[in-house]
Amino acid sequence: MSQGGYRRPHRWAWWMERPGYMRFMIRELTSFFMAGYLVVFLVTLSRVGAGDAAFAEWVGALSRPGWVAAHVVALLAAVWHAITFFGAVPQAMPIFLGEKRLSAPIAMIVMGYGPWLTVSAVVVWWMLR
Amino acid sequence: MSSSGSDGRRGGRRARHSGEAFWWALFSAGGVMAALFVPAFVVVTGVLLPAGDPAVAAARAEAFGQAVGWWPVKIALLGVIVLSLFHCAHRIRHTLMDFGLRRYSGLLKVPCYGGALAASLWAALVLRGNTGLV
Repeated sequence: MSQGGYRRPHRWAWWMERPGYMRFMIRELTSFFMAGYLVVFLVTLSRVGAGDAAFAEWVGALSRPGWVAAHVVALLAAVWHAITFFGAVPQAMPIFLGEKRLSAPIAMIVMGYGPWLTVSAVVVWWMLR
Repeated sequence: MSSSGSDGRRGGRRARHSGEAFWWALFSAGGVMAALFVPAFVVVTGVLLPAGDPAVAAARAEAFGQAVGWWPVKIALLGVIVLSLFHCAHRIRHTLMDFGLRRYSGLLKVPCYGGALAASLWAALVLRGNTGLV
């Protein structure tokens, strides 16, 4: 697939050149950790169906320090993904009330952080009640 | 969300070729699902499920098993997991391109979207009740 035109060559570490680039790259890297977590989540779901003993054994493994640390990293990545994703809502989906554009903080709460907190509370309650 | 303002890498001329628009749609929907659900999933399975004394852990394990065993929840989980996987695949592919693999952008589709597809099929099998794979 020929792109045509000139592409300025850049170092692989171009994202270290500016804080904004760095923030962009950190946001992108959250996807690696979330993908890894999703695979572990699938293992957890498969262990549920494998019987009480198999599931208890897997949960016991998850309580080891290495797995706890990995999940803390995954949690930070997932939270950062959510914050950056919902933080972009006002630019991505501007909401107008008549002629007036809904202010950015209100749009973020109504279209992002509010639903996020609600869904999170329901998920935690539902899965562990 | 969209980074087209800064570098245009996900939009523009290229979007008309190569099915990029299709992956972009999956990417956006997956981004919403991942943002809404994944932090809570991590808290449940990575923190609350393994924490606590054995009696609490056993009660939580039973509650978790019942919650994810109900078929409407299984369908919802499958949707959230599949869309989130494709979101991650898209971002991982573009991040690898940004790290200097741009010339392999086509080839990178195989491990990225192929991996997401494989994990999606696995998710469908797991949620269908076939747990012999792991």
